[in-house]
Amino acid sequence: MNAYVVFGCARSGTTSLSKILDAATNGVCLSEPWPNLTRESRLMMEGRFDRPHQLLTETVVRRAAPYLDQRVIYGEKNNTFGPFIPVLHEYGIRLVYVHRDGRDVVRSLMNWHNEMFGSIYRECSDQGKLNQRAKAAVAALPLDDDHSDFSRPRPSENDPWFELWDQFTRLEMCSWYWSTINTLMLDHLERLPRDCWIPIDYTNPSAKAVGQAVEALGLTGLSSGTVKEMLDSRINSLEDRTGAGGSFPHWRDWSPADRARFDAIAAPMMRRLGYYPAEAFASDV
Amino acid sequence: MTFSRVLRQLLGHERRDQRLDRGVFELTKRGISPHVGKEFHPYVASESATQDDVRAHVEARLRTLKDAGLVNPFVLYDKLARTLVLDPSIELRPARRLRAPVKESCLAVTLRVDVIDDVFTAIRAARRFARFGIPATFLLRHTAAYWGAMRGRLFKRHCALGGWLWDLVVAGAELDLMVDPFPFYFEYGVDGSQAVQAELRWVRSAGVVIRGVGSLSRAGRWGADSMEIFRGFAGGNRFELLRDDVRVPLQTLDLATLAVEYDSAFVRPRGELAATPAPVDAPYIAPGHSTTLDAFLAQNPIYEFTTDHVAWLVGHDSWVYLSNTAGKHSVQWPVSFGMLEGILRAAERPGRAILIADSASISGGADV
Repeated sequence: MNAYVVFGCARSGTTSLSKILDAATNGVCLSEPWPNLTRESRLMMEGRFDRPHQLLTETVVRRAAPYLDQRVIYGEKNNTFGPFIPVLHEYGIRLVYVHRDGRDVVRSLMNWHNEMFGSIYRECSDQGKLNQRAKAAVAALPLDDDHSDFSRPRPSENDPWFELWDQFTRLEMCSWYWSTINTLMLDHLERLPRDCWIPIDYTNPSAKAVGQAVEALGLTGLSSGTVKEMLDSRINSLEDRTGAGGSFPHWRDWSPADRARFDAIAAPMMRRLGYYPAEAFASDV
Repeated sequence: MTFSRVLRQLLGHERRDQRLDRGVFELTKRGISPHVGKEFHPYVASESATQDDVRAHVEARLRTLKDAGLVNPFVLYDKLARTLVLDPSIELRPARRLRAPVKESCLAVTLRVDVIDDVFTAIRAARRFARFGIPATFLLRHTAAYWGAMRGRLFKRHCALGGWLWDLVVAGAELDLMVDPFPFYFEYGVDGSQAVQAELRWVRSAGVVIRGVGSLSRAGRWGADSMEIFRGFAGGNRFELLRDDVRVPLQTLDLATLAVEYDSAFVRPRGELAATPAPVDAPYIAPGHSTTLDAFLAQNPIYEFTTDHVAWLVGHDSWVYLSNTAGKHSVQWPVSFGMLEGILRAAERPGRAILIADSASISGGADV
């Protein structure tokens, strides 16, 4: 099947990459087409969903079919694909895995909460420093309509952080999310043949790295200049969406306590993805 | 005929004759409140710079409940969540969606947390529900200490109220206003329906969305249910309540005019106001509660419940359950949580159920 999916932890650059890939002349890349499997993704992670083949047939495959009939390469981006990676692979769908330094992701999630949506890990005991836009957004989004927050994983009873979750700060919750979702994705991917998936580090994305993915997917019409221009426009960043940067500090300016909190939860995955050298912590970097 | 002309005509005659009563009835039927026999002061509110120690107030009540052996451990929220989430034939809905059509194989369930006093446990519960993705409805009482208090003729809102409301909003709780107009009329001589309108306006002006209203249901005390201030919700379609020589208008507010989309009481007023049994208060958890559970849930003289199943937490692992299907009512008490799980599993599908708990009733630690 000449189709691919883009996925990663939220705020890792998946929307940016999908917009770039969508500019190809021989393919499309839809961004979070509906239904985007939010509920099923969480249930699957919790072992409460047993029809992944049927679900993907009725959603991704059905969406892809009309494009494939026209010999157009079909792509879609959904960050809910993590638990479905083995089934997507079974269907012959190529996998584009986007990852980004966890500290940048956590910072972006904090800004997304405080200045955009106000609804990231709604159970957190600190409501956050919400601006008017975030307040209006969260007030208009009762829990039953909030599919995004539902889709994020929560610690199971076997998780070492299960008992402490209620006391977690939002920074800790976001750190756990980044670590957990990347662990899930990478665990699945590393069981597959290496040529079936394309990893892209979006921490400081280069036109060259994106170009390699473009080539591997067989997409055409995307010059290095076009890619660079789109990368420079910082698609779906807070600046792109609101015209203003976020106020949550860059990780270099985090308090020692916040750095320690992040490391306690996310250091192993930071090492696994190569953002920390082996056995290093943020304080060493 | 204009209102002032009707009033002049009426005031020209004896005050309490039948004609006057008919006139009051006619006036109130049109939504005009003449307040015959007593003038009510207008409702005026402001925010307080100082605050009562609400936490101490709540803790005192919790101690009383705990000493009486009535409190449930907080972990009951987890048990509830697991029971409801793990049954694929149960569809959890907030109150605003409970009346929507239900699939053949489903039982639609609304969890309603009535925040009578304990706003702190309510916030904690809302966060717990958010963790499980459970949409629950929280009724906030505008006469509770956490909301504010009368100081002379002025209602002073608690200065921390806004923060508590936003804690609940961020946690994803559906917020409804628990209307409680009668203390204003009877205890302070203040227009209670104005109080309801003003607090609804104030909450919304803060950016908090409120689409529903519920009732404190203290008809045993006041002689009328709070919902009766809304048009179409008065038992026997009555338009006033006379008590202690105070004549209080009913049906003065209109849900649509207030942009209220639903009532989370899920009641229908009776066409005829029954003389017996006498109205009773809702079975909220309280030491020495005198409510006859059957009288409130099945024999309520003012209104009847419209959902197929109602379960109300009234004590330690003790629910009262109303089965309300096929035109038949039956009340069971005490019902343990295990029994309630069985009832929900066995309940006929499709159907609708509402589970109600005062936030304070599920506030304990592992020691209760």
